[in-house]
Amino acid sequence: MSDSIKGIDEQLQALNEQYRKRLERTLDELEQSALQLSEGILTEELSEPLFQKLHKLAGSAGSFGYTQVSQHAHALHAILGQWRQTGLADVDALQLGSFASGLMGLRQYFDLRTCESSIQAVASDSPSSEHKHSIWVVEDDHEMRVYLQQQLEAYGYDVTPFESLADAEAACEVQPPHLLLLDILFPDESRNATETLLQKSPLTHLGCPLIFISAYDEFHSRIRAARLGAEGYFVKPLDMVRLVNRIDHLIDKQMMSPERILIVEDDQLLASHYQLVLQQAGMIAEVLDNPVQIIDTLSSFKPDLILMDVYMPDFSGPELAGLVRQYDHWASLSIVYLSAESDLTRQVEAMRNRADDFIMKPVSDQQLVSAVRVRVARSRELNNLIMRDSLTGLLRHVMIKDAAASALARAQRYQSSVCFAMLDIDHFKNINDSFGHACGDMVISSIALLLKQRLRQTDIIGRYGGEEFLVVLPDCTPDAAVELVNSLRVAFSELPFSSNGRTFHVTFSAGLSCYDSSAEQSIEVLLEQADRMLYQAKSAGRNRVCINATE
Amino acid sequence: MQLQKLMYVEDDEDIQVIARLALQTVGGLGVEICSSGEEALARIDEIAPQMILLDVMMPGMDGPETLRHLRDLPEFADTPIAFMTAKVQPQEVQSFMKLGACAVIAKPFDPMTLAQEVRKIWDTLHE
Repeated sequence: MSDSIKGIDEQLQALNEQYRKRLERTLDELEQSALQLSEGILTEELSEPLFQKLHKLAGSAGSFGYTQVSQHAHALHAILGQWRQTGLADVDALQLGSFASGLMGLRQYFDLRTCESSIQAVASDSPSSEHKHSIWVVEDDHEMRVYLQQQLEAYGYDVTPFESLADAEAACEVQPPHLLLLDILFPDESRNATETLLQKSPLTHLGCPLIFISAYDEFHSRIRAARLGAEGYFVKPLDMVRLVNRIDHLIDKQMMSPERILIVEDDQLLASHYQLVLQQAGMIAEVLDNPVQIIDTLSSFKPDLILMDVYMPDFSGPELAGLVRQYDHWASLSIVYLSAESDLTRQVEAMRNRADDFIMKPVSDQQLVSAVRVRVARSRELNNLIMRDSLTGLLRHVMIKDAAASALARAQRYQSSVCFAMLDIDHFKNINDSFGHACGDMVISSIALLLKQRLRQTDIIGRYGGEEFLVVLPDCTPDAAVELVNSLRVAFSELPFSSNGRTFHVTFSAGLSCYDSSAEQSIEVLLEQADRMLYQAKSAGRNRVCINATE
Repeated sequence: MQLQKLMYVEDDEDIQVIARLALQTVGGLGVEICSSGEEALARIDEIAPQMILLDVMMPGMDGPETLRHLRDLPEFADTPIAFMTAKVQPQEVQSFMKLGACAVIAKPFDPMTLAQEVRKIWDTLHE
């Protein structure tokens, strides 16, 4: 079974590679067309092949993993189709200009995807490799630039520094970053000059999150930042941990997995329409065929949200919602009613019956997508709060133990290996005593950030105790695990901390245990082994990694 | 009755390759691919599919036109036909269904779940 899946993966990868090359050529051709369009004329000869290309792209790119390229090609195809109907002569230069920049913009979604998949490919090859997201830093002050680069690189980002806006703009054409960090006031320019410049800059159309750094914390400056779409505003002197936290959050949001929606609706046609609309928006949507199977479907499909019709012939929406809520496991699942019910009191009644929200029919496709998206985002955020430690964003003790147990179960089922690493900060009490608890918290969130940055997406990280962390590394050999944890240890020890003008360094010790399918071991035994190895690392002088020799 | 053999009519070579992988390798279904409506009509007797997947927009004979011709063949008048399209506006979907399609599948499709989706359509028709 796992062999055939592996074969399919390989074939898919080979196909994706072929497609990628062809797609690159198509994008070149589209850019050529965009250049012609920006001269202000759209002819029939130009529009016909363009229309065809966009159509092909919309239909195929998503199947090869380029979902965003598909979506944007689809939108451009629709616009062009409209123009072809109303007459190409009526299209003005402004419309053409924004259409042309839409065409140019396809490249960035392509790059984003290529970047992601190469990250995944690298990450699955060797667990010690880092998946790096790129950040551009535009900062005119030399010292500050070097400082930002060093700090961000320590957290595993790939940093490209620029001295001026113009330099960064020139680089836009090559490959946009995952995030842009911009100092908005440069001394040789008048106040707010950067913001004025930015309004016309391609930098604000990169489609990546933008964070401003400023020396001034004032209302008008912040408003202007918000108008330019900035998703962060940090005042100097910079609080690095907060900044990295924000960067992390913004990049995570971009890389989010698609929303999973279960549709419960007796009108077949309407149900498949909702399904198609949500799928088009990049979500995974399934229609529940038989209400009796709702709990089985929930377990196998694991939706983020149920979209439920209120009135159905056999069982009503509120009845089904009530049934779902009887199960502890689904007590916090979002349920949204979809109904033509306009009577407020009846809406309220339906809500009381354990649903979270109400969407009124008829609903436009766009409204449906955004309503669902917003609700999923909110419920994911809430779930995060429940499952994750607030200081570090890592899994809490109970959750990480569960996750470790299921990783072991999976390894046993598939006869693969899994390693467990128990990490503990050295002399943590001293840090708290000499620098205060706020500083201790900063050290803890730094190590959490480092772990999140440097580990693979498939690795699981949890805060096990106060200053103790558990990392689960699936499909990882003991040698690779030691190498990985050691590289983390070195990176952490090089991270400078400062408090009250004093700079200091912190280290951690780690103990590892591995399951390699040769012996039956319980999760308790494996965690205890890791703990014992941690103790050994501590007593051997700390700042080191120990692993249990195979018994 | 189990679904075993499909005909997929699609002009885009990229999609042909990934559809073969999705339906044949992942899904274990037999698939014959035709690059145009014309080819589909010429080869349907030889292929004798249980179900047909039809791209909507193709040069020459497009999806709806191919469907009309297929429906004229007495032997395949009842063979389920699903459209594959990137257009899923409700009125469009409805017009496809009115033409006699049994389902509309959104493009781009996910290669890992396409076969499942097709089987589900088949099973619903044969319940």
